Amino acid sequence: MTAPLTMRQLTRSTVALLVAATACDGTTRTTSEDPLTGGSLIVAVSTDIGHIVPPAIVQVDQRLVADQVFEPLAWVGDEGRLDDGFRPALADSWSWEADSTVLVFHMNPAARWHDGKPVRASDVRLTFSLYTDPAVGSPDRQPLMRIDSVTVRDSLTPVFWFGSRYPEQLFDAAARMLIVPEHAVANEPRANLPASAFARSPIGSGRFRVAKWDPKTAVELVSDTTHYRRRANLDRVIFAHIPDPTAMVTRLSAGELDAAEILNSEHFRTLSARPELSSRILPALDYTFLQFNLRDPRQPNRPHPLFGDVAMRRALTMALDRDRLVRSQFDSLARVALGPMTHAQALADTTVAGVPFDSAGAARTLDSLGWKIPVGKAIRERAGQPLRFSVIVPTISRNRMSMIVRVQEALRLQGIELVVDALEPNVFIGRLVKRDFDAAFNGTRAEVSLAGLQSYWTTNGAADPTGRNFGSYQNPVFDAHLDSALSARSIAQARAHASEAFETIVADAPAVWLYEMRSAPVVHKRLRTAHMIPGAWWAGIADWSIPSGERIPRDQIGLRVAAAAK
Amino acid sequence: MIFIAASLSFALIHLAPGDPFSGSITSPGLDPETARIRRSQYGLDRSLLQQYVTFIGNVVVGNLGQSIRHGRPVSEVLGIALPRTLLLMGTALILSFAAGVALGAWQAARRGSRADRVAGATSLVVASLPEFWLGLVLLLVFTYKLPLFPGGGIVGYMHDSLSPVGQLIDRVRHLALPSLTLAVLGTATIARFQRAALLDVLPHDFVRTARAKGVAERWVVYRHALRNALVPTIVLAGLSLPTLFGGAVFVESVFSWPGMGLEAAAAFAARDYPLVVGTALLGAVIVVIGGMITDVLHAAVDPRVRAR
Repeated sequence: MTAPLTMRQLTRSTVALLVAATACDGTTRTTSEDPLTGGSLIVAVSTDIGHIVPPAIVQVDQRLVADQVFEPLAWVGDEGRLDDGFRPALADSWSWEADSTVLVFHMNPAARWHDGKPVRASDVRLTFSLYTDPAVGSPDRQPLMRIDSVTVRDSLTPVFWFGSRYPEQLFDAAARMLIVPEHAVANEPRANLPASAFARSPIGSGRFRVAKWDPKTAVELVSDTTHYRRRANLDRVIFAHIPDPTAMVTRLSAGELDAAEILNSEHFRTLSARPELSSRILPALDYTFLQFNLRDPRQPNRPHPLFGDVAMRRALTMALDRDRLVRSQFDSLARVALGPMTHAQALADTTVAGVPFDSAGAARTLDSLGWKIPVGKAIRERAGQPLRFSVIVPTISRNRMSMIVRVQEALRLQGIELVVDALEPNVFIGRLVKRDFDAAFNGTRAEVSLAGLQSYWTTNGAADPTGRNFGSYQNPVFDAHLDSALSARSIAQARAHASEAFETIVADAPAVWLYEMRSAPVVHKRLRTAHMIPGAWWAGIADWSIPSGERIPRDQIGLRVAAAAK
Repeated sequence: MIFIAASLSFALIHLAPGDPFSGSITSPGLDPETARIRRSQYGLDRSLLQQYVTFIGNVVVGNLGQSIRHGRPVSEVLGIALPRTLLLMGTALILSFAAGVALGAWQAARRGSRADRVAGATSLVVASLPEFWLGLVLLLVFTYKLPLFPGGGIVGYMHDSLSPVGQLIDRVRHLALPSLTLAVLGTATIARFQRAALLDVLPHDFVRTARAKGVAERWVVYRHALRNALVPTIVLAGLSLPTLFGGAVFVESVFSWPGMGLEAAAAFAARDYPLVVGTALLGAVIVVIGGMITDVLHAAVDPRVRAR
């Protein structure tokens, strides 16, 4: 017996009929006979893409789109290693010369730009010069400065010259840069690449090309059917700008969207429960911490009256049951942070012992430092001064605003008063940069490599007024181990030094390492996904597919032939 | 007024903490060398007075400068966003005016009845609802529970694959929920004003005369009294443009409607000085035009104004 139609199904059918009745135009379409190819994917992105000029990319969502349109010389492999396991892209192979300070790439002679011109070694040379030009402002500029130069041996052989050996050389040369076409970019003004003609009509070499660009609305990519390797399985991918997270969840549930990365545990629970959606949890690169200012913000040449003492910082860390705090807010969507690193980083040491939760130990330490709870009072005091400090928090981060309330309550139970100073993001950043805070609920997106730690946690980063070591943490032992890790001859040596560095900084507790977010992509089950790697769940979209029997009406439009326009 | 709005917005955005190159909360600060180049490129390394003089000089000749986020002329960015917001606001204004006047008149004709009291209480509650909340509720009901309308955007992602008629229907369907959100809130406010205005007019002599002539009560209310009671409502509709403009910020965010509201919010967060000031300037122009339209309509419905 057939089940009666629900009101929702009835409405859906009516609307589908209405749409189908009007869905007919004269546009040329191509259809594929390969059962693997075809179908559409609509991905929600929370930020306006703006542009996808690779050297000028500053947002994750921009990289998500650019990775489909452009290619590096090689992709990071599924295991995320920085020294091996790379998947060939524009380069078929590579070899080392001299004392491993010269890296030679052999490019695929069949590689073509979307306008049909061949990809050449000179494109790689130009790309490197753009990434390292301060006028362009690439976030990858500093790590790439470890490469001396890029030269062209012949039209298919770019050569990378390094000043010294280090473990991430191959990653920097092969995967960090998305290669751009010299003939389309060379004459563009470098200080304004996002506004260039190239930005409006990007020409890449990836398995998707840009078909349509509606500013602040959507970017539509279509499969490049003439790609030198193989066309993308899907006909099209649309990146839809959905700024409101609740609206995004509703539209994903309603079937208007196919995929999105979820940042809120309640939303994740809701969507994970839906039978037509599948969810994944992957390590990511964002970590968040309660950073202490080790210098007195009023007299920066003096240690902070509270946080200049490592015993106090460790006591505050011990006072917080981070595991419970993180689970209660995020469930499985985050985990306790290891330190200034995340599980997604190849060189992260996940075995480093953090400062454990020990409320009795924290109380003993605070007592021994003279901070005791007077009879009849709830807040600890020393010489009549209450144990109180302020923490600045950016209001734009819902997760941090929510977590700080839990931290505040946990510290109150230990007799510590935390004054929350919620600030508009620009004010928050201004206070950080001026080092004008006691504690800051800070967070960052870690570099894939360890090079990013230098600005955030080393002595140089503290001394440099433009550095990002806002808490002025300084320990020469940490600096030395990090330097050794960055200049090691092998990944194994680098990992050993990195572990020492992490142990040092975790023991020094310049921050309470609170949580690292996990990447939680939710995808419609009709899509078969591939190559979801830590830090880049979108890496294999060109290999995603939809079985022909599971396609819905929007999958069957075919590969409409449309001119790129923005 | 436009000059004052431009100068004020210029001063306030420049006095606000941070600048366009101070970075984001996960990545504070550009490379110092890059930041220096960028500040010089946009003239932010000059004194505030010099920047102001340049700005005013450019505005006088119709140049609003270059958006820092988009790297394009502000006029070009606003030129794309403004028609979208005007479409949304215009539709909402027409819907709310029509529904509000009708509801207010209906209530006034039933003054003191249970229906009047229920409608009055309901419109008071509705008028108090936040735009984003109502938008999310409508989205939940009409996109998810009863999937009648799409949940966002100006057109569907497959718009280009539709026939011309299909494309028109697609546009109307996408306009439905965001304009309905703004219109529902506007209707509640206008209905309350219209009811009060009509109740002021009904005791007048000309209404009594009409009744004495034997005109049916419906005609008395809707033809004789309502026209005279429209004046304050028309003024309200014109003055509600700034409110609609403000509400559009939230509604555009919920429904991914890429108009002025979304643009203004993003520009302010990113301290895109030229775009913020350009948006404020355009807002001031819209308010002034709204006032002018109100005057014209006022004259159209009130012969005494025409006579003056």
